[in-house]
Amino acid sequence: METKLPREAIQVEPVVQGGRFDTWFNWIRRNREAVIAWSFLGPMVIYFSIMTFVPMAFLIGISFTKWNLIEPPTWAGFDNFKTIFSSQQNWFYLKVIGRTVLYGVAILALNVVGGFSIALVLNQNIRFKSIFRTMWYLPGVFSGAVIAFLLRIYLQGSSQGILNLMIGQFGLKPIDWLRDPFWMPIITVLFVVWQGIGFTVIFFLAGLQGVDENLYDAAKIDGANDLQLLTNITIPQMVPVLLFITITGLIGSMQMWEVPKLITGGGPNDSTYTLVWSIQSDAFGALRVGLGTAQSLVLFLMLLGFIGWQLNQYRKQYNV
Amino acid sequence: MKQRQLIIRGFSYIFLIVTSFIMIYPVLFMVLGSFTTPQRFLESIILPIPNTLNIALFRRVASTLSSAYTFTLIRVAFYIVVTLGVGLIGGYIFSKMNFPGRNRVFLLFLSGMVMPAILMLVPSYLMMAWWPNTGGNNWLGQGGHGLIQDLRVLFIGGWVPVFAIFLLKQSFDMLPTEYQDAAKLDGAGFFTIIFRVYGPLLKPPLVALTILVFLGMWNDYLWPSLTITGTDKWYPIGMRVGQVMQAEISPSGEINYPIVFITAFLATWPPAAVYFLLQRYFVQGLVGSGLKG
Repeated sequence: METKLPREAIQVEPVVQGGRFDTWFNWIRRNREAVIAWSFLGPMVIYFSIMTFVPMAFLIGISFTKWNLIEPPTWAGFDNFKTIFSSQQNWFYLKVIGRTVLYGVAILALNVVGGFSIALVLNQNIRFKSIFRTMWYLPGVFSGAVIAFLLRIYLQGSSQGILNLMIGQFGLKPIDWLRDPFWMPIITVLFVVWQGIGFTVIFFLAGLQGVDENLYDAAKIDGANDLQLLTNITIPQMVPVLLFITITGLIGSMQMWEVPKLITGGGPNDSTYTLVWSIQSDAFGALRVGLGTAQSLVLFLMLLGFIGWQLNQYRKQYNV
Repeated sequence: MKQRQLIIRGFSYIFLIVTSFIMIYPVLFMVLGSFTTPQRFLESIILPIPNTLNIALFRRVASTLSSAYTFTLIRVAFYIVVTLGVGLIGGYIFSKMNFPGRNRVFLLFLSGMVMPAILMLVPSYLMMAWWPNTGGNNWLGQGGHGLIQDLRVLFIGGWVPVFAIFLLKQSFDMLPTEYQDAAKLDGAGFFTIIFRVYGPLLKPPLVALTILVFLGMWNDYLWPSLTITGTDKWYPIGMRVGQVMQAEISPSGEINYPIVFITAFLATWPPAAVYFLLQRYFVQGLVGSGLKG
């Protein structure tokens, strides 16, 4: 049974001194730190949530619609994903995904192998070490866009193009680089490696300098040769750096957009048509926004899958 | 044994010199090409040999780039202030303060780093286009163009720099809490503790962040190229360079040589200069451990 208290039984605190205002004030005093922290963190959390979760909700929501930006979007279910994973247009989107993965892996491999070799050489007692390191990092500070514009000029097909000027000195005929489906992918991959490899070198160098010298001395006493030192001490010691480089490198290399957007437009013969370019040209060029965001979602899931797989592999192999 | 080491050393130097030369070759070509007359340039072997300083040409290119320079620098300065300020406050709060919900909020911020920015390109564009009560939009964000083609679109993002907060939290963790207690006894407030007590001790990560923000904003191209295409007085440097370069290549593939190099040169020297000046801190602050140079 519910019992109803008479009104007089509820104690009303006086709002004057020593009353409700004072307890509130005391509460703030007691939790001063939390109040200060949250008064700064609160706006940050609100801003962050708006700028992160609203677009994320758009991303997921719009992926399931058909929409050309002008008319209102219509629900399309899984149609966009079916388009991506279907055989229409001769498996166009699957080829785009495969190409992106292939270039991403090639970029990553060149980055890691090249960066590690340079770091190994630089880690000796070398003079002008910081100058060499600077030269390797220098391309990374430039705007990818400006360098891409420059690259387009280097690759001009006429005999005035710089690359053609150079190979002309060896008596070779000018090549129309920008329309060559054999060279353009190679140049695209090299362009991204060129820009990113300095970052890898710096991190590998830091890692190499963190390896305990005593390990080498102990192994040398046991009669290990240089190759054994490398495979049994250096490389296992570099696993954390390697993990960091492969994850950030893969995320970065699968996102490259400069060459297709600013130089080739995805050509020649779609040989540089990568996923990020496909997302942009579908969403903003062909005004198939749903298809574009669906591809973003696919790329995101692919990256998550790669990272998970990679972490797992390392855990199995090295018990990190 | 001694001889073998000498040979390895020798090969290392040759290897480094050759590969480093290949790495900076395109840049070197651009710089030297800026100071070469077209005729001389077309005869060059391996690298053009500078023979002229055409100040009039430099002036001409600089005047087309000047508004983009100013605008980009304003944007760079704005984001350096925001990143360092919010980063320091956030790093301090997460590192040195105790309050309920701290770890949960930190995890929330970290989750934002998982999402590659490029995937958010289309949805972020849409959010800007649907921003309520701006650019002819009603409160539901419909009817107008929102913040697209609006100057504000270049300043609205990135006010909670998660990476900076993360990096600075780790730097704060390495500094003793006693400083804070001592400062509090002396009556120092929240901001004094962060900016006057701890701030000066965090120079390496702060400089590293300054470089990162400078490079990131100076080189920003993709976002402005989607959001402010129509209004070329607000073009950042990258887009202006694209415009100039486009104009200097004729449809038949004839290239206006020194000008394209001078344009690229003028657009790329500031980030290179910032990096050269501050690289010691950059490597230190980014990698954390003392990397010997």
